[in-house]
Amino acid sequence: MLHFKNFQKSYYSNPIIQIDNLKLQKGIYWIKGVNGSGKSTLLKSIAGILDFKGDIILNEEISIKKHPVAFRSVVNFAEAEPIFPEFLTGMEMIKLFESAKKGSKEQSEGLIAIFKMHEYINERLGTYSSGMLKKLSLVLAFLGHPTLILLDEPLITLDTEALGILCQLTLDKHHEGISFILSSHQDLNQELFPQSSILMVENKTVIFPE
Amino acid sequence: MNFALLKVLDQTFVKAFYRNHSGLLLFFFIAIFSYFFFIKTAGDVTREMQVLYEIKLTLLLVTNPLMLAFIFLIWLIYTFKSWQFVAKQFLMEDQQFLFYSLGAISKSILFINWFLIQTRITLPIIVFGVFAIIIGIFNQQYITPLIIALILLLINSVSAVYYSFLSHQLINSKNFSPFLKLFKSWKKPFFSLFPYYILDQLKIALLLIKSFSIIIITGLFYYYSSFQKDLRLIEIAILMICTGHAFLIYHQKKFNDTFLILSKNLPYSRNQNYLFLLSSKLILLLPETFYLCIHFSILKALYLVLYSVSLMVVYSGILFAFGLDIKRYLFWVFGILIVFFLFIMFKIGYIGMLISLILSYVLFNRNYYKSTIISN
Repeated sequence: MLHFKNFQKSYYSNPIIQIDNLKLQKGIYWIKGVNGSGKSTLLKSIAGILDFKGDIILNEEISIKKHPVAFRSVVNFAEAEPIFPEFLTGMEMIKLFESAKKGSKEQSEGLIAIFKMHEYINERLGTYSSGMLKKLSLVLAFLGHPTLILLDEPLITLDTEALGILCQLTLDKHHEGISFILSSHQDLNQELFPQSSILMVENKTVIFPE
Repeated sequence: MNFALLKVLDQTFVKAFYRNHSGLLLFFFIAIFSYFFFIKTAGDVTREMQVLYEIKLTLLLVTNPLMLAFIFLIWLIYTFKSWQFVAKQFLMEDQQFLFYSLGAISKSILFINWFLIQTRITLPIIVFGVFAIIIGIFNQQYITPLIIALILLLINSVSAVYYSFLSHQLINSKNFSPFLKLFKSWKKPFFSLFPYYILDQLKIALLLIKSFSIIIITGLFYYYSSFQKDLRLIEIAILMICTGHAFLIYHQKKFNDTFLILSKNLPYSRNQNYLFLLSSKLILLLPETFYLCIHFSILKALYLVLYSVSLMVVYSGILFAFGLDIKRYLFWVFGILIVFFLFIMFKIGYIGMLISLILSYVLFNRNYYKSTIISN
């Protein structure tokens, strides 16, 4: 599903993370690592937000470097602590992503209903709490026709009900063929995602734990 | 005097104010003060005559009521800007501890502390005011210095009363610009987001910059009736106007880097993103474009609009190459001003336009995804 080839991300010539050759099959992956290990940097690089050396290839044909538009059409991302323009409403933000990711009105409305956001979706984002912003970022991540969804620290700031909704939605979408990479600095609760695999970010690289 | 409180307020409001507005202040300092004191007059003007002109210009401050009214207007805008900033700081989550600590302090002590804080915030206009007072006294003009001193006292006192009032208010929800209500039902495509942000957060800056545009265009219209024949005059005017807009372009990059990071995950090609950037500049220059279309033939207007957009977009290109480094940015902006002025004087202004478009495209393409955000 995802192939890292000579991947290297540095800040000011200081290497943060390096993956020489790693292939991930379809599935749900938890990326674990301590604060500052490079989890968010890795997810942002896969999402096409940060530049890096090397290449990442999706489904053995779509390279982020050679096919940047096609790659970004099918890889979605939700930030750990999303920041959006405060003057926009939640619905305006959804419309922006719906248009760019080729989603549909029905899909957007379905996701708004699943996350129970009807009451405030037309309010300006400056009035949203951190939990409401998090839900919005999750809705944006599910819009369109992704084959891979990256969720950075998806469990933080969500209430118990929203957490249950997210887990169920993730499992449903996984059964439809969508892969997930989720990051967390906490231990994985196996009950949430029974079939998931763990990846560790340590010593500036990514490994499967033994 | 509560020095501990003064220190906290100084850190929270004064330093943050100068940090946030350093670009605009530096720009006006260089653009206006350098004009007043360091401009070199063209032609055979002796050093003595030049000093005389500078003294006459400076004396206008204290002798011409219209000039004085204009300066007071600038001070008023500056004061409103500082009020807006302080009120906004109060609403930030990490500053809300102030409501608990300030609420317990007596009104008179609070007033004195806020008065001193506002004195520091308005330091640039106080320095300017003191300078005008000294000039007035030296020239036996006593009424104007008295008015200036009273205005300064009034500005700081009213500000202190307003801040004291804010200190005792309950935490309120965020207020949005009333302008946004006008465009509530409008679609907001990606490239239009920054103009909306200006209407929400940078209204005063927009007012100042557009006033600067109006002054330049009006001056050109009244003093150079031949400006439609010699394209160089309007090219120079556009160069000045775009230099004024450099402040907004800086904030556009800041806005994109802060609020639209996720947009880099959207499936738009670099060329599309470059077109979005050009479109946003065109929106910013809508009033100037309207003026050009009225006063020039379609071809000339088209060239002039493209000329102005090319300048604006090259400022963005510089920011993509060097990041939000204000000193480097201003160095390049004023460098471009000087070089492009020479191009215009030698009647090759279009070369500047071509250079801008090519340079901005190359810088944008090379650096669009090269970000320096560190977050783990």
